Amino acid sequence: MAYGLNIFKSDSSLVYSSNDVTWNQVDFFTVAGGGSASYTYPALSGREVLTAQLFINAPPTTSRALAHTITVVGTTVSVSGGSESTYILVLMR
Amino acid sequence: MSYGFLATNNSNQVLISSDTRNLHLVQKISSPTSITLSNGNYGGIRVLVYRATCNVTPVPFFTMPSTSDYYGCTRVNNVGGNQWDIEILKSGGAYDYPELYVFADARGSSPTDVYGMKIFRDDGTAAFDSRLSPLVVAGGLSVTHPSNPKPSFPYGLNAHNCESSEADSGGMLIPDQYNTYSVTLPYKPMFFFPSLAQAERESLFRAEDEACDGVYTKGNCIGFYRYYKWESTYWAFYRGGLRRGVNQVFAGWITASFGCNWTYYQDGGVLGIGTGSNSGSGGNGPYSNETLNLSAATVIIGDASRYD
Repeated sequence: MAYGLNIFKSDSSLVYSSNDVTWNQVDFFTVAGGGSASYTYPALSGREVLTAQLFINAPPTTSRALAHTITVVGTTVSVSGGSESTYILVLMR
Repeated sequence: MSYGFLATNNSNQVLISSDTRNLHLVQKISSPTSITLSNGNYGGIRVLVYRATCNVTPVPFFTMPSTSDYYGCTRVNNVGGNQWDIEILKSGGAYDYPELYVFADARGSSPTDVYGMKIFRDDGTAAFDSRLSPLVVAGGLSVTHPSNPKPSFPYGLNAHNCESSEADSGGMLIPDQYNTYSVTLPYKPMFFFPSLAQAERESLFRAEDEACDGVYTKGNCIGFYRYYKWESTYWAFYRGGLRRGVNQVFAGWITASFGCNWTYYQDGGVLGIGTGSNSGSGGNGPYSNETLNLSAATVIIGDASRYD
């Protein structure tokens, strides 16, 4: 390579390079059912942001099981409106 | 940044930053630890649980061994200490199960190799550790699921006390709707896809009967009259799934639960004088007639062969 970054394993195989693409974890937190959260991350400034949500428990079939709504405004991630406890994953690149 | 470490790729996307945490492979799990539900009806249902060991919250990627079946990660649950149960819901009747690749930030595992590159955050914890294979993504997209998993039912079922067989009710309620997305898939694609979408579909079947122990005169029973009504509601509860093609993915539905509930009513009389009624009910019912959590779902795609 003429420029960039290559990182090798001890057996000389390439493990990571500047030709790669990834998503970096900014935070991973829990929001309870009926709860809300809002956090500001300076690291998100000027970056692509991706969020995801995972149920902690299987949603019941006998009642409404709402996931939370996640909004990203600037560097602030806000979560609210869900009836179930979930993990919130915040990624950037 | 005024201090720390930052590496970007040619698109100016962050590869490594001392302000964030790269995801690294913590564990590959080749087969489920347990199968909590297995049913060949309703399009096939397999609830697979993978027990992972990880010091922090895991980010699970799974393979899709079949191009006919839908898969989704339906929950991630800490069962104590660094033990996690990761649930994968799968459609279809095949017994070829996904491989699970558990990623987490560098605190998730403790490598023993002494060779590599490690980047620290300002709190002294690792942001990147090349001894743990860092996550490289091959693509990603947002998907939405059709609002109705099963718009029409192909045949009727028995209205009497939910007496249709599971094969018959399951055949009627197989989900058949999906949305198609074009995407370039790597050699051995693995998917991060938390399933949030839910839907329920049901169909009520009614039967009525009447009997007259006597004679009918001008439409009226002269004698002992009886009236019967049966109603059975067969239902299925679905969760959003993902299926892969050659260079496509399909956002469809997987049956996660099913059941039936019924009511019975009988009334009667003699010469127009009521002799009393009788009724009964049974079975179980779902929260019904609504599709939830249909907003766009995140899908991240990687090449699992890189971690084999």
